[in-house]
Amino acid sequence: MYDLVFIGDSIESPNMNTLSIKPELLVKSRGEIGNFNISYKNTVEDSQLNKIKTSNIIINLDTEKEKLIEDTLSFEEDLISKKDDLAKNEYILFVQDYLKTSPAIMSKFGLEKAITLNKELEKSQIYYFYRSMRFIDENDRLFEEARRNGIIFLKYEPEGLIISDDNKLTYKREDIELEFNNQIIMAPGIKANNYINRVARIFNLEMGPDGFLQPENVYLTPTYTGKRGIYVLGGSRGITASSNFEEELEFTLNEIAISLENIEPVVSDERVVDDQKCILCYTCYRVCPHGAVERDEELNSMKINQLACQGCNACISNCPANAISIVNEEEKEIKQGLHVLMRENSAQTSFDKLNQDKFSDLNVETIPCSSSIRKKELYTYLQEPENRLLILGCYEESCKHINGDKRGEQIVDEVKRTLEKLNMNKDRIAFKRISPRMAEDLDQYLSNWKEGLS
Amino acid sequence: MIVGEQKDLNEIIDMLGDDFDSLLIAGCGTCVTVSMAGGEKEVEALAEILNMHYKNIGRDVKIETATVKRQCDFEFLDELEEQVKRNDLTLSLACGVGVQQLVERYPDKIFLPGLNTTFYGATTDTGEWSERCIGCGNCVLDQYFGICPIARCSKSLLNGPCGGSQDGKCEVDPEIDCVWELIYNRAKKLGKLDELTKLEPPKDWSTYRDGGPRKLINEEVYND
Repeated sequence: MYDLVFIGDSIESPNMNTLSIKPELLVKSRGEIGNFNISYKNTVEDSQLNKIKTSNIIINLDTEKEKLIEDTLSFEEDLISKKDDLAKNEYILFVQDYLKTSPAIMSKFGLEKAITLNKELEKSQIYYFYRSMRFIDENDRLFEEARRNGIIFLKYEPEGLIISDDNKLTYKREDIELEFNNQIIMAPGIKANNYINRVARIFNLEMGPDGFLQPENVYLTPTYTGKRGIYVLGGSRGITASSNFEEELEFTLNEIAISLENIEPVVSDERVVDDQKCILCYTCYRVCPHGAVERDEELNSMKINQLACQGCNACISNCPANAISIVNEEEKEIKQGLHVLMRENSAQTSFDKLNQDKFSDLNVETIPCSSSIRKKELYTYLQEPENRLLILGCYEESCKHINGDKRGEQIVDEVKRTLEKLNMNKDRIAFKRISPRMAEDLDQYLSNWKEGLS
Repeated sequence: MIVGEQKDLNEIIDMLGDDFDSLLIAGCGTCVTVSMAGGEKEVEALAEILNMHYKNIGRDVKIETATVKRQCDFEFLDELEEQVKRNDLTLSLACGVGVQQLVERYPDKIFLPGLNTTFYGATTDTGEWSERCIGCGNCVLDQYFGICPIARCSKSLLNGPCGGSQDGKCEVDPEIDCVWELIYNRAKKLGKLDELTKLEPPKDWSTYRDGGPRKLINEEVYND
């Protein structure tokens, strides 16, 4: 049993028993935090599988760098070795943020290189084109030093800087129009690692924007994925991730060290799949934001890993075969009147701050996530014409269950469409996002909702 | 897998009509459960919806639900006998095959289709299914590098794209990939573009619907 497996480059991890696997050699992953079962090959051509166990996983993949324009040099190249050639240019043109804003680490490389070259090349004037200067480490000092040393910084808007096919650079601003036919040194374009989709699929991880591994979500900072025990570092996480690599590594190794001492389930009530009802449609696997569901190869049914499960119930509400349930769940009593299903922690925190007497006529129920609402139950609530239903979910990007709020809203929208088709008032059901700090808004909204005002 | 989608709610209500007091909604636990149209979850939700509707318009209708593993085998339909018999109508949420099996098994009863059987398809995303086969009865995937121009070209063209292929999309709907673009790109990647220059003669459609309803007999197990 390894303490930690790196997918990608390994990093020194004191007191831990580690292994590194290249992403292209990774074949299969099963299990959960504390007990992942990984299969991998020694070479791409190999058909033999190695099987190992590990408690934790760090995905540490480099980004792919691409030259945005042919025949330009890169911020990352050894420019000093090319200084004699560069010295032939009257102007040297540094360009960052071309097509897309470059990460802060690229500003650092660019500034360092520009300052060094400026010292070496006495006769060449350096222009540095940028859209936004981002600051990490000593970037602000470097920026100041560069300007003091005579490097000319020109800020541009996306349409203000054009590099033609023959590497002619034109720069336009209200007051200036410049044209250069000189050596261009550019921040490279950065995109996700070529194997990132493969890794995401094997670990069943949610993807984030631009094809990186971490969705934008407050619960996933700095290096968490939706899946317990799997962390993303550096270039796996996004283009800006490498800026704080050291701090993030320290945090992650510390988290892993704690988990090696003891791992407890996040939720106390167990979710189970009825293997007689499960049809292996993989819906639960696809909707689980925590990668907690996998196929039980012995039972030939899906199963839920209890340590990985974070209790959102998205699997239960989405299972088309009604095969998943909570052990010993009490049957709900449907009370008449106004029902509010409230997301624990977010909306509930706000609600707890309100004058409870004012809302004592509401039937309030706490739910773990708005994705836990079940379509059938919503219709059951709406059977009596005077009954109305309000679901209070989280804001996007602050949903602990990644996309649970969106799934909850989709279910509510579906119920609204049905009510409309039946010529019933679709506003008998409503979905509203409430954060823990929105007590006043909630007070106002609930007061209006009670009166039938939207 | 057979992909189905639930009929429009008002179409179902109109189809059920006014002349009944009790209804069985029968689900199917295989293909259409996967496509989230006719499994237990949908059956129970539809029962609640119809209950709500009939209550709203002041009609007293009793609704029961049942979901069997597959409606296309009589053995599973036997499990429904009591429920089918005690209800005036049965709304089947199986594909068209299941509805007809029910009719054959219980010829004295009325069965109505709650689904439109749409196509043979694959799950291409969570909540998304795409057509991949039309069951033509004479598979040609070997000639097209595993991508079917019969199912996936709007015109089922076998010798390259038509003039309506623009930027890799089909003129019928810009959401549809031009399958010939996919076939061409795959052939190119495999270094087998020259194989696409072979002219494919008109297809013999007698193995498809043109030869009439089809029946298949496996001599190894068939009870003669």
